[in-house]
Amino acid sequence: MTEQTRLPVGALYQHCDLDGLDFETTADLAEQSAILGQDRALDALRFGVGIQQSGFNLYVLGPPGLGKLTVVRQYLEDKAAEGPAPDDWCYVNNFDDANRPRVLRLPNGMGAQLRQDMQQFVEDLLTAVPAAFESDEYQARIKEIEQEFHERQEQAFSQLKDRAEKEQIALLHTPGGFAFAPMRDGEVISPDDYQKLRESEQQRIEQLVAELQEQLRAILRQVPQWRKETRARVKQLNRDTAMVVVSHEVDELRERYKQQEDVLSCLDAVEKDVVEHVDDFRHEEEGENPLLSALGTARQPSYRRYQVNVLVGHTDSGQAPIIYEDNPTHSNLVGRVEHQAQMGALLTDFTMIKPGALHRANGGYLILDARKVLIQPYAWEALKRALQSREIRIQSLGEMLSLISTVSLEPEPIALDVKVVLMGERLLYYLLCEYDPEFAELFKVAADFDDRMRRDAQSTQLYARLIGTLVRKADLKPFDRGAVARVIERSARMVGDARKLSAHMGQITDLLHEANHWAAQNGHDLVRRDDVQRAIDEQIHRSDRIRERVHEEIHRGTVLIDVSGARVGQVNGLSVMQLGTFMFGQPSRISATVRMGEGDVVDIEREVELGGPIHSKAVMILSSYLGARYAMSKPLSLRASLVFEQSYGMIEGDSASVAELCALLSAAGEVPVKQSLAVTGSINQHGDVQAIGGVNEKIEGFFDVCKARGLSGEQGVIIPESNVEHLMLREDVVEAVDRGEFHVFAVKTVEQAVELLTGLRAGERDEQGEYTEGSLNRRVEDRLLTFAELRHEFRETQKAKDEEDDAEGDEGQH
Amino acid sequence: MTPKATKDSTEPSLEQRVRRVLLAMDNPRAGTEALEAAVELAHQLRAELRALFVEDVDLLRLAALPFAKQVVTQSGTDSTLDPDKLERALRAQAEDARKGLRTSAERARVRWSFEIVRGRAVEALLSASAETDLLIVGRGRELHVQRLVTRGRRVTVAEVDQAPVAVLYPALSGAERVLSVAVGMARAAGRPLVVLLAEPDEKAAAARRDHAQRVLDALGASARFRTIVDADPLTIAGAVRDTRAERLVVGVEAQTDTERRIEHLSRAVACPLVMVR
Repeated sequence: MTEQTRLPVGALYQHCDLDGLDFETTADLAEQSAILGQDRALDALRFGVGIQQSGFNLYVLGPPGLGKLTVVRQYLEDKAAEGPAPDDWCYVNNFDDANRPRVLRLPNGMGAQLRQDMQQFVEDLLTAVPAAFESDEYQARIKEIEQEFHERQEQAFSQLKDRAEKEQIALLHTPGGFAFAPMRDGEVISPDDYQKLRESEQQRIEQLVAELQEQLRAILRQVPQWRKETRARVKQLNRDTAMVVVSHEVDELRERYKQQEDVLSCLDAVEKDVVEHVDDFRHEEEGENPLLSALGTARQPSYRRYQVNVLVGHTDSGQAPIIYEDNPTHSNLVGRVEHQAQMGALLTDFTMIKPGALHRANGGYLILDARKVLIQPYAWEALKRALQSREIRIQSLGEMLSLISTVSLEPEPIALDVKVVLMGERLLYYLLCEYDPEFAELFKVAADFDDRMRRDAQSTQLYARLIGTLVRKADLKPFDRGAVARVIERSARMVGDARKLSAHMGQITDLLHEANHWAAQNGHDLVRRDDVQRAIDEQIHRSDRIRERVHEEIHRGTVLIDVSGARVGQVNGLSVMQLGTFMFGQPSRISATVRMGEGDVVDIEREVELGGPIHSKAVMILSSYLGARYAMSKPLSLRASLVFEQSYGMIEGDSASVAELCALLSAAGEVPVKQSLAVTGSINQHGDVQAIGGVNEKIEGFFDVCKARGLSGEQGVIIPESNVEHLMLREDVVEAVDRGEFHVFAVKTVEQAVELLTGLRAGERDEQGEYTEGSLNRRVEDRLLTFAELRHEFRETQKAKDEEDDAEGDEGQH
Repeated sequence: MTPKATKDSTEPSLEQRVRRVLLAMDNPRAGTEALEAAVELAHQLRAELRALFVEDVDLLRLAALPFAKQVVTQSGTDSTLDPDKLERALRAQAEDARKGLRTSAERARVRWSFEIVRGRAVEALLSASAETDLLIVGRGRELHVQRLVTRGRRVTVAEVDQAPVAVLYPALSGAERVLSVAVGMARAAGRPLVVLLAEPDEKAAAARRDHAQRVLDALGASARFRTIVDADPLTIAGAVRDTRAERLVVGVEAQTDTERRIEHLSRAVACPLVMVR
């Protein structure tokens, strides 16, 4: 059995075949532009980008460092070059409601042209309008209107005055207005003379004055109406004059933008506004407040409302935009409206609308990091809202949350046509699928990047080319063939599988950089295998403080691990610890005790709540296995306890279940277990040994402990056979095995494991259903039978005692 | 049309002839233009400016009448007019006029004095004046209760500069003197001169025009002529308005109806009236 299960050296490490690498150094290798091992993800990417329906945005899954962003960018750049060129988006003033700026969609490159044209338009008006209003024709017409107004008043007053004078009444100008006075000999009659007049004459004069006053009041009441009419005429004249100038300028623009209906509509509004506010173009300086002038805040005519805010303008590249927003805050995504403080107030207008990433990516592609979007307040909601409504609506967070109460803008929404590519971890994807019902509707395409790829002769060749490409891109020293082979082997070890290679290009690139560094330190022109090995060793050395401490404690006997001798109910199990990116294995003593009981296996870890559910499940499987194997016809009259010795933290996983069962069987059969061996693997109810994780680290962990105590040639590790193809053991372990100083055994069943551990045959049932005499199973079964009989006897004795007690009780009562 | 720079060396210059500019104001609002004109003239002629604020005696008499009322311009409503109230209002107006005079005169560095008199503007002016005085009456258009303000209208410098000085060329012995004063004023201000000939008869008008032309020639000046049908104040005011003149120069004769005629004229024309004795 021992020889059958012992693994040959060749099974412990899958070397990269140097003969398969047909180059001397990476300098000889061709560029590897294609992406390796991501066919599924690339297919998804092609599909997601190609399909035009709404909701088919992409979520690119995979851990960081796979080069997802590079791959996606590269693909999108190729795709974007096919166009079409995106439109320009501009905001212009809404002359009907300045708080709701209008949006203009223009062909690629036209936004900047329109902005320039409107600037020129205003400059032209600033020259043309004053010229028109200073022309002789305008001045003559304005004077004519004013003169008509004056004459109208004069005529009314003259007629009144003439009538008064005919009646010897003068119209006098008083400090507050006008008054009528009776005259005599060219002078106002004195009060004395007036008193001397007959009463009838006095009455006549007073009545006459009253009538004249009434007529004067009528004239004065008419004056505002005349003024209003005159002003209306002046205004109309101004409009007519302005219209001549403005129409000429606007018509030129109309001709230029005749294909753009929105622009034409905008120009109509501009024309109307300029005509209404033509005074702004006339350099009027009257009535300026000197205080405001001194403060620099005097009201100056503003021409901003005629400007064009080119929110997104493109040069005529003809390419669809690819935007990666590194900081996807709410405002960086959907844009924002800025404010300007003036005299303590916050002011804004359409020129202060700033674009977000969605604006810039409109018509193209937007790449976002899912985690970053999710941690920014309201960014995820804003992104979903934009994708659902297919429009970008700029709304400030402050306003949404009622944090600020200043007047802000409500710009017209912009139609959105963008393909969003979210990059993120798998966990986030699954969580979003589970908890956000809108997510699946909006991100229908998952591009799942694998973190490992198949390892065979062909892929090894391509992988070597990829390494060569990375070396060239990073401008490193060329790697020789041996170095490349070592990188490939390390890549397999990274994924813990001799038949796979890591797709984690970030880690590979780090290794290349470090190997390059050590090559330089060692004065090598080429990076060699030993440089790569040095880089690997240094990486481990930088991370293995805890491992060193654990192994030291074992070596000093603080943590009790035996690597020689034999003991009943005690097995070396193996566990793995992961601290950051570094994993290491360590042996753990598993002990079991048995006594008569009612067939239950007590998991002490679970009892004290230090065992996880998977571990508890494994212990229950053990219990089931025991019952099925040894207590088919009689009750399992055993109570067993299992414990991980000197374990003070959580125990999780089922990889120790083979070791636990072996300890249990050893205790039940009172058979010593070899302490020179450690065992790992999980079992099912039939006793089959199943694969576990971290097999390399576990073997190396026990090897290190044994090596520290001195390799005896008896020591080794029992692993599940299904883990053999994962073996990529350290060089010193392989060498020790090769020298016969250490062994690795691969088992399929728990019987194979206990045979290795105890040196006894497991034993089969014969025709009578009895296990072979002297076998482990026989010893276990015999012990269990003994427990059953003892239990039976105990019960009978107890029963008799109870009956006796009952009879004595009855007699006493009688 | 601008008068030429050369002139007859035998004639005394306007600066030599005018020692004092007399300004009569009875209404500070309408008199602003007259004040500006008087300050400008005093500055140009290096003459003293004497301002008379005339409290209109007719107004005071009216206030004492039992039925005296005024119609307020702004509101069109009636308001009682009693002597005390009127005198207070006149004193306030006089103070405003004095302040306005001081500000303008000091800015132009012109010597000035201010006096309040009671009477009628032209009468007070004539009685206070001497031969060497230039008289200005500043009523403006008293009938213009409200001026039309057209916002944004820009009056160009050229427009102001081109506003001419008008002179009513009289059929009297001192016609040459009046004309020479007008030429001096136009020349000092760099403005064109318009000569108004009040003569209905064409032949007579031509004769007077020849006469005026000779005087102008002697003064080395040129002018535009405009004939009007009569010397009625309203006709003259119309001609002044048509020519867009900013000042009207008239001669004052020692006749019985002079004051009355000037009084009417000063009320009719829209610009300051400059009188030469």
